[in-house]
Amino acid sequence: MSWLRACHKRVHETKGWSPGGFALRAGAILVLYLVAHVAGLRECTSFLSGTMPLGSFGQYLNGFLGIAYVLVYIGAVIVAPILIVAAGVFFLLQRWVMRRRQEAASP
Amino acid sequence: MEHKPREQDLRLGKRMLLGIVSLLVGTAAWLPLAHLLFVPGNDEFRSTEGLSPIADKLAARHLELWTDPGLRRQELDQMRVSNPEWDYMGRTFLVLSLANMCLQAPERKQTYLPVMDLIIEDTEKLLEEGGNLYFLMDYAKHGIFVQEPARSLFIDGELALMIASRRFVEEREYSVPLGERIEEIVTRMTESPFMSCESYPDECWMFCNTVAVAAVKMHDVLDGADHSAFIQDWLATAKERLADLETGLLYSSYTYGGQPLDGPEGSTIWAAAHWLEVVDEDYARDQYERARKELRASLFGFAWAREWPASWKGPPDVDSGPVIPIFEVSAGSSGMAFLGAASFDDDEYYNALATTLMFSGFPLARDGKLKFCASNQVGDAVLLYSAVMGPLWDEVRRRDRARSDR
Repeated sequence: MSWLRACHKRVHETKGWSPGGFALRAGAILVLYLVAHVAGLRECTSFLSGTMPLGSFGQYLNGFLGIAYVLVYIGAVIVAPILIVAAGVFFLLQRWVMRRRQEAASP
Repeated sequence: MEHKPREQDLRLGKRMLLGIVSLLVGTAAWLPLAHLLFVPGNDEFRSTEGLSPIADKLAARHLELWTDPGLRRQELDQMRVSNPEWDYMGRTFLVLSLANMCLQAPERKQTYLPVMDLIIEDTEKLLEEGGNLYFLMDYAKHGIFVQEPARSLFIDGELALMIASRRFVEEREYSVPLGERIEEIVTRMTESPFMSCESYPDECWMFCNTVAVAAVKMHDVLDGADHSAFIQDWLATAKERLADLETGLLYSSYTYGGQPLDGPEGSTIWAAAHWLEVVDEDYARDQYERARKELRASLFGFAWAREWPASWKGPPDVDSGPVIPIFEVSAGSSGMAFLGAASFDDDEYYNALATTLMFSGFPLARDGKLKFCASNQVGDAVLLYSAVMGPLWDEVRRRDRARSDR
């Protein structure tokens, strides 16, 4: 399981405001969405049409899971792609800034 | 030795600035493209050539509901908790969908006609046992219908429409013949001050009245009756006295005495224009164009419909569905907009609505069946109807022309 430890270390060391941090967040959102989807939470979005399982507990649970699914879905189709594009742009911008700094520092 | 700069070398403030710029670029790049993930393919939703893949799977899901009593009970009971009307309207839209599908491909009759009959017979049985109130919202019990004897045009009109549609596919007698129902509807509407009957106590709904007028027209074509004078009077009354002066759109509800209750509403007008198409095509198209101008909205390739025009504000209700602020997205109006767009061959709007639906309706396909999880049986039946509509109205007009030529 050394690769897992290596991944964990890498994740731990990745700064939030960095291309890797953005990509990591996008990945986390996509994994969350995948888990919610495989768990069948998509069906809980029926709360949006006011159609829910009978029984108050079932309705609350359905509503809660439905809202959770909608949030991770929006994350997966809107936020994650933005983060991925932003990670690429961030990487290029960072390289450009550092190159300029290097050029300025060199005699 | 050369020092290679690393990202850690940038201070947090600078990294944040670069990050924010990157996020802005990412947002500006992705938002206009996001709809591409959801655009249905050519003819995937609605096809002029035959049954589209989505319509086919939606229909399979509905047929499963009507051939598995347990599943049907569960689905309808869940819906009835919110609104028993949806149970009734879901039946109407499914019968209309199946009629269109039969007329488009007669070989489907063998499968679909028994389901249409099952729905109509089950509906008649429930009405016999529970009366009109079985399919009406609770508040119907707490008021008094102005017109006597008390009846709901919501019930009478849609049942007549279901039976007429079934008869356009293939003739069959029902317990109460269509003619008797229609004569009662026409008599009551004619006796009323605004040629409109109540669906709920002292509430006339344009949706129900336009359904009834369309059913009258279908009966005329089917049985050789002539209610053209009644239809002309109804149209004249609607144009002069039941339309909003500012927008020209028909009111969605008004009292028996003609006092507007709700102004023009998307959850009514798109469907009303569709029902009227078979009665007065020019006026129906005019209503559709006005509704499109007042209620259509779009952003980044997604389209939806507002419930109210800018000149009229109302509270969200069971018809409008939840209304998302700022964008004023109304689930009820957007769903019904599919009917208008399909009816008047507005492919651009239909496809943009379908794109929004594929994004926010949470489609779920399984074993060749499809449902939209954020919707319910009635919502899916409306969508199915929008995807297959055409042949039934074409058949009504064809037979009407043939009748006029004789």
